[in-house]
Amino acid sequence: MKSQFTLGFLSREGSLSLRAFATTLLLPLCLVGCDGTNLDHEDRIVNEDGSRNQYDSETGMTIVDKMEREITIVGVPKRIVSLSPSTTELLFALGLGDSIVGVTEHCNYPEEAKAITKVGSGTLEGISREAILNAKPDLILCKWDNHRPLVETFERVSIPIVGLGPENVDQLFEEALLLGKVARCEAQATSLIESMRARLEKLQKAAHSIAPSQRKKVFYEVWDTPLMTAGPQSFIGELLVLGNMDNIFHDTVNRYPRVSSESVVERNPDVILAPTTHGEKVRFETLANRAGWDNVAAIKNHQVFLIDGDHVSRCGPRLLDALESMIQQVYPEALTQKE
Amino acid sequence: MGERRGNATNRSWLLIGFSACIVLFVSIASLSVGAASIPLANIGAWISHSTEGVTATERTILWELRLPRILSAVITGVSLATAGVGFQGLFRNVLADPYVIGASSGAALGVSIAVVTGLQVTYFGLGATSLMAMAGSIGIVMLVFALGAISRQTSTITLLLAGVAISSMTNALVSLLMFLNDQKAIVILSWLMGSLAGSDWQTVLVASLSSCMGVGILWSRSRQLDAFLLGDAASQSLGLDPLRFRCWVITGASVATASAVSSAGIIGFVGLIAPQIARLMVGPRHALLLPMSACTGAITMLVADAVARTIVAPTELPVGIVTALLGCPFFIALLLSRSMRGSVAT
Repeated sequence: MKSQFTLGFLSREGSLSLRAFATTLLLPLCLVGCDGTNLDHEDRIVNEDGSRNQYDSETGMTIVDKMEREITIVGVPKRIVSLSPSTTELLFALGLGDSIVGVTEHCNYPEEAKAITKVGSGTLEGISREAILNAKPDLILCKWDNHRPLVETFERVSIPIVGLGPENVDQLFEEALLLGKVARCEAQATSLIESMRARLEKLQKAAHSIAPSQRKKVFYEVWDTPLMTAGPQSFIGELLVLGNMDNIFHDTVNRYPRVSSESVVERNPDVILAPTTHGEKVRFETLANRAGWDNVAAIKNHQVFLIDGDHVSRCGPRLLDALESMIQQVYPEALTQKE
Repeated sequence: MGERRGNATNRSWLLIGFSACIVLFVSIASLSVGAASIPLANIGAWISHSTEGVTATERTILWELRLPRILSAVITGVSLATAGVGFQGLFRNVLADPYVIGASSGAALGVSIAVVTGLQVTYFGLGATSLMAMAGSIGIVMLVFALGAISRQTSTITLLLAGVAISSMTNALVSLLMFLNDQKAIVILSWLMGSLAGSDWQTVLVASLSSCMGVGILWSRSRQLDAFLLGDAASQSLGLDPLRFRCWVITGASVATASAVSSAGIIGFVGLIAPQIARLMVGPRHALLLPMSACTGAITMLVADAVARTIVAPTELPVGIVTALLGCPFFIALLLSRSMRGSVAT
């Protein structure tokens, strides 16, 4: 999508004349002078000479983000704003915690993240562009799907903004590598990935030691009203597969489809998993009291387990903690056998 | 008698001039508030081109974010308020608002389609959502007007009913699109709540041009709007062609509304209440009511956006929430004080 980037660049050039026009047209209203053009563009101007993935303090490095935009980053980012909790966790895991200068109000892990300047809540309308600018970032990491409008703003002021948002373990590794490349800590990235891979293999092995006849049908309840589950396209869906569990809604298309209460009863899961809260704490009694659910095997046998919401709803470095606790709850024998 | 009326008019123009000064004052004051605090002294330095004391970051924030945003607030407020006056005159009903004949639902549909299909066009510096918002709102209003015109009477009631019917259908389509694309629903939703955060110079320029066009059309019809309030028979005896009149007012009001929704999303309340406040202050004559409404609309939006930016900083509130939360109590207080004074007088 190189053309898109070029277009954006052109329109930025074009906006100079627009700006001049706007100035003459509108500014008498506010008696405001226009010194907006002397932004510190100079030190950020991009030299594109096709030197992909090479870092040279002069030319910068070009990467492709999840929005398929080409972004050139000059120099090593020292002031990073992270707009999602999973990205913040990943940055800390890569040893880049000290370079973070802005996070969202949901970024609560690790403990050090809480002390970093907040630039808004996580949703698009709750983020303050001013607060981001005020943090003087040289790199902004946003969510590729929900934060799209931010890209326009920060492209205009020539601050590199990268869209992220892994939806499975492989993509998480890819993003770790990408951030490693950008922040020039590839060694940390590779070692993080290697250790995660090793742990994942161990967990998978344990989960697959369960005999096929003992596999359990699992319902993962993402939300209660409306009742939502995790489809196979989501990373939670992937965790179920990695954990050798049979997702009762493996046939859905959306990442987090709404499902009817009736279909849960019909598909009769052996185990129900849920994050710790759905706005308020999830309780076994609430589930058991739903009409018809008393016949569900998971309710009859008290097989309702909660997974730490912060682990399981963020596709970040703690994802494997979520997988481990899922396996622990669903197949307790698998992990004890192993050790 | 004539002199008394002249005095009242002069007083009204004085009020309007005073309000315009308030708009200017609030604009400049709100340059200094936001998630990043910039003292008023620095704003002064910035305005007077002085380079001392204003950091590069502050300059970027002021020029790239706040100033476009403040101008957007003014334009949105002016557009919605004057469009409100137009529709209220057209329907002879003070409960009409800029969205009454489907402008908001049309814009919402346009935006939903743009978001769902991932449309990536840019035209004259406007992004896909702004363009589709404008296209949607004007398209739906034209459809409603065509429906109203087909039925031979072309009474305002037919128009209103067609508007309500088409709006509900369009809203249902928006809900359907959001339901079927739940991953993108949040993007649509944040747009529906209205925000000025995405304002930039291009949106300001385009919105100001289209807003000027809409407001200009309405302004040029102000005498006719006065006449129309006298009723169909009386206004036609004064030589008013009802179909052409409606056509002009709808065009003006819709273009103004579209300019507001394309830059700020859907912002309720301003278009309904700003004209009422203005009416309480300068009375029903449109030549006075239109400029006064423009001022009250702009002030409402400016204050609401300043609050939206600061009250839970660094988080932002959608400005549409603030306009209603702050504006309603103010308006009710004004109504009560008026009616109390009124009851004393009679």
